[in-house]
Amino acid sequence: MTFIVTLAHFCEVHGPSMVMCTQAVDSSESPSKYYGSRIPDSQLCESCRLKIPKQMDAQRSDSSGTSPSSSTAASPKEMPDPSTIQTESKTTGSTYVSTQFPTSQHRYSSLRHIIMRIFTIETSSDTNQPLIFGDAKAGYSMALLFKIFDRTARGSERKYSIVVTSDKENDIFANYSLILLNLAKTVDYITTRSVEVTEKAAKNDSTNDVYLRRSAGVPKTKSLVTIMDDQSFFVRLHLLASSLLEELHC
Amino acid sequence: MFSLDPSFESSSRSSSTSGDDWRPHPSVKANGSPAYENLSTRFSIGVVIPVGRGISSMEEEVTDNWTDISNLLVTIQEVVTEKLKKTYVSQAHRRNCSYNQHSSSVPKMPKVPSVGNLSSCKKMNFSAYILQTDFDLNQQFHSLVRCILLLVETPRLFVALKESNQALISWASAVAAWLELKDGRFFTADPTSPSSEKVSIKPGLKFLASLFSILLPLRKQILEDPMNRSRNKSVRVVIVTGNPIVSQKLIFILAGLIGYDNYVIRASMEAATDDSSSTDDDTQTSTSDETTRDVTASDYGVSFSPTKVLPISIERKLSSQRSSSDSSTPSISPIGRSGSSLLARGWKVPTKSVPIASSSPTVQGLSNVKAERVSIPLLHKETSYASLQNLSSSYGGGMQPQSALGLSSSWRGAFNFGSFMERWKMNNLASRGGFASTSPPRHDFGSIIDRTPSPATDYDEYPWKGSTPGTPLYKTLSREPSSTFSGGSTPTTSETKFGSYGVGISGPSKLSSFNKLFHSYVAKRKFHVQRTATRLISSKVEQSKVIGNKISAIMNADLNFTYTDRGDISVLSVENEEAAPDDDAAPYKLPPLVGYTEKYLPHFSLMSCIQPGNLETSIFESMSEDVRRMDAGSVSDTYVINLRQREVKLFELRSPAQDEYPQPSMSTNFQRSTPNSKLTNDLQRFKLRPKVSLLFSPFLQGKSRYEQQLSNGSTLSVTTSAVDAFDEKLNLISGLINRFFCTQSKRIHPSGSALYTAEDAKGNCADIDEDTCCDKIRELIRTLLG
Repeated sequence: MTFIVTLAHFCEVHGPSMVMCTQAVDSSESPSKYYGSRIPDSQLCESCRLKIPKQMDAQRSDSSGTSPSSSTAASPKEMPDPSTIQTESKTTGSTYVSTQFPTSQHRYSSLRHIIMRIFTIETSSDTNQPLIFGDAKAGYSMALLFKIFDRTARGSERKYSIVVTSDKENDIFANYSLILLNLAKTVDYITTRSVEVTEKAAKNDSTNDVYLRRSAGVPKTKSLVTIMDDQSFFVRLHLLASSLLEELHC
Repeated sequence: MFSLDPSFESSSRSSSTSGDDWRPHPSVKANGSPAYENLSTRFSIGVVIPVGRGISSMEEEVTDNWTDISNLLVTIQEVVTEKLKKTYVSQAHRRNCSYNQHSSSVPKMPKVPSVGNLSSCKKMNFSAYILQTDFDLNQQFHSLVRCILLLVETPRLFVALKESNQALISWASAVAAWLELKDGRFFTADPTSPSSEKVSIKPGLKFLASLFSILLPLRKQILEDPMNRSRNKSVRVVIVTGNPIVSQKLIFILAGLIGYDNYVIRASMEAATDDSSSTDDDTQTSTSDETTRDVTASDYGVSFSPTKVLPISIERKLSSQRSSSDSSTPSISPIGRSGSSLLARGWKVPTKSVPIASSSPTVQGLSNVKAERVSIPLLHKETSYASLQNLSSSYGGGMQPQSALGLSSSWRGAFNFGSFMERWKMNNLASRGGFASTSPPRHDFGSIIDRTPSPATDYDEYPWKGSTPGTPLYKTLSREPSSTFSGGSTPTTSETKFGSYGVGISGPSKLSSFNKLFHSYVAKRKFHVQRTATRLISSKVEQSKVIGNKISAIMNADLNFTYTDRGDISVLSVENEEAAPDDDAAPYKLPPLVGYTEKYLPHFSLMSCIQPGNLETSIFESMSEDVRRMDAGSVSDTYVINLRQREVKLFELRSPAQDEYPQPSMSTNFQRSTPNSKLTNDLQRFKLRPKVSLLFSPFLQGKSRYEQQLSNGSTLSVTTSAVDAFDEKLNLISGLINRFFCTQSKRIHPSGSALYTAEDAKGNCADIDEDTCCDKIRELIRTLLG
């Protein structure tokens, strides 16, 4: 049984793109095989990039709730920017690894294909309902699309999707309610939180730039970290995905 | 979706490009892509399944039945492919002929384009409406709709013997009754029973013990989905009978034992226990609130609540609700979905589809029973066995027309399908005899949706149960026309709890009170389990709340990061502080064991159905489909239990070699027109003919040992010692349950007026309480299961 949880985004610049994917690594395997290398900033825009708190960021955000602890493996200045998040399961013995892209070529091409379908081919009259589709080549997926209101986005909305992909069709259907409830609750939290952040920002925003500057109306790329006002947002999302994978016995 | 090219060859996608670490597996193996993808015509089969908005509705109607739906879609795909291929070949033939007429006088055989000349081929063109008007395809679509309907309408069994004392007592009672009345064993604790005088005179059949010895070793395979293509063996058990009541009892006995380890009530599913008012007469006899009654006064301990989703189905009511004194409340039913009405009866073999043409054995039906119908060996007219056989025959007669029509009656019945006479008879029955006193007048012609079925369609108890006060048991057993016989089949409010029997019973009614006690004991502890037709569910609200809390906790947690340097990669490690997921809250899909079905359904591994003329053909066809679906070397077994002949037969079919797979099921006309010659088809059919072995028969019982050499080389041996061992344990179970009821009888009727102060047939009537009795029975069951 293999499940992959993916956060996908319809980028205004790059089109359907993968932001983060979480995989389960069996205890018999080495997680290092799944670690993703750092992708140069020039290749990804702000919207598409998986932003993992750097050691310095983490220390800075100490005052805002998170309490990171520094590693003794290297000094902060020597460490490269983190490109992988990992969590060890206390129950299954598996390790859950989140990266921007999967290291496996087959998985990467399958997920690319799935994400392309989610944002272009597969449609539903009710976007609150999940999409379930798949084939024997790319795998079988359940996806829940959601939109985040943002004035700086084209059409004032940013499209995302959380996708759970399995290599077995039966596994997706057998865990339908568990997957769907997790996806729905996560999406619900993200959309609610984003509205709160937007409202809070609107209250605090006393400038009239949006009316005075022409550039203020031009769509801008924006990371979910910014939208959610949480530097550790992707770490939290990784934990949610890990928790779901754990519940799926991965 | 699938694609075709002029070669009509398909490649298996899974093996073509997938890597070692990513090998997707579909529910059903199908060649979805054409061999040469550059030139292909695409098709898609669309199915609209109306479901409710709730998750449970989607699970029950689509996801839990997805393998079966996929199977049917793949079959349709195969049929479409064959149809188009045939059309394309004939088109090519015509083109070739017309070309040859101009170029040469020598006709050439038509030829499907090969790889080499694909590029020179034109795109495939077919005439309009070529598939829309096709008979075979229409048939396939019909069968798809019918199948989905039946899957949704046929609830799976849940017999929780492990936890529920109530279910266990009912199960043991059913075993005891079966041994006594169907196998001809006499050890009842009832001293007034006519059979008690004949203790140990006749050995009786060891049908039940033999059945256990055959089926229990296969229980793991029976619990699996017979349509699952990933297996190499599929096993089905089909009980063939004309009497759904008797077969339901046998199904109950078998399912309880086969699924003993699997039917588990988890803590998250259990909603109500320890109902202290279970013996309170007032609360039971005056239950005007049918909702309460349905949920808590289930006859068999585990009651069910259906989910509130409203899918395709039409609402129905329990017929027993009509025994309510309030005739003006036709829609109080807590049931929100079709068939769930019957789920509310606890363990009882749930049948969503109550045949509209079936009816309780009426006065006329019983009096017209002819003794010459009995053709069972070792059968004596004076036994209850004989009366049941006759009952079975007469009952089956009523069922045949229904099955011939192929009606699934739960929703059709609700819409007044069926002939006027059938409906009139059903309505007429309701106001006759025993029903008159308990049934309110029917005013349901105006309301289609709330139409309540006649009690006649809800006949769900042993016919030998003399349930009306004043009717001695022997009168019922000796087939005397009893005006109240059929009336007893419909439980009334006062019959649902055993506590009510202790009041004001004297004289002959004591006997009937024992019978009521025997069949209607209510255990101290009761369960309330939420379920759909396909699974048990923990409260979705709870599950949703747990997940919501988990997400909220993670999103607001203080996270502790650790950074690790792995060469040029930096890894952030974070611990999940949230508690491990609770497996107990996970939904539990029920195994494919069902009760009585109107027709043979290959999707289930245990069922009972009547024996229409084409039952064996249907079984053979499904077995043939099994081996075609599964890989080479696979085996499909069907155990057919014929209750009338008391025979157990094994139909066994081994998969043929790869190149000998039969064509997908299509009409004979189409198969005739396929390129295969008639000889080839006949040969294929011959190779796929299942081997039939007789595993049990009353004729064979006397032999010390008989073996069936199966075609796969394994030997299925049914030894008399094994059967005797099972039989002995079953006898012990019967003895225990009789002792228990004996004790209960003493409790209800204190010394002096007790019904059973004498020893029972085993010479032991020592008191035994519910827990001790159930513990001992469970121990015996564990030894039965090995």
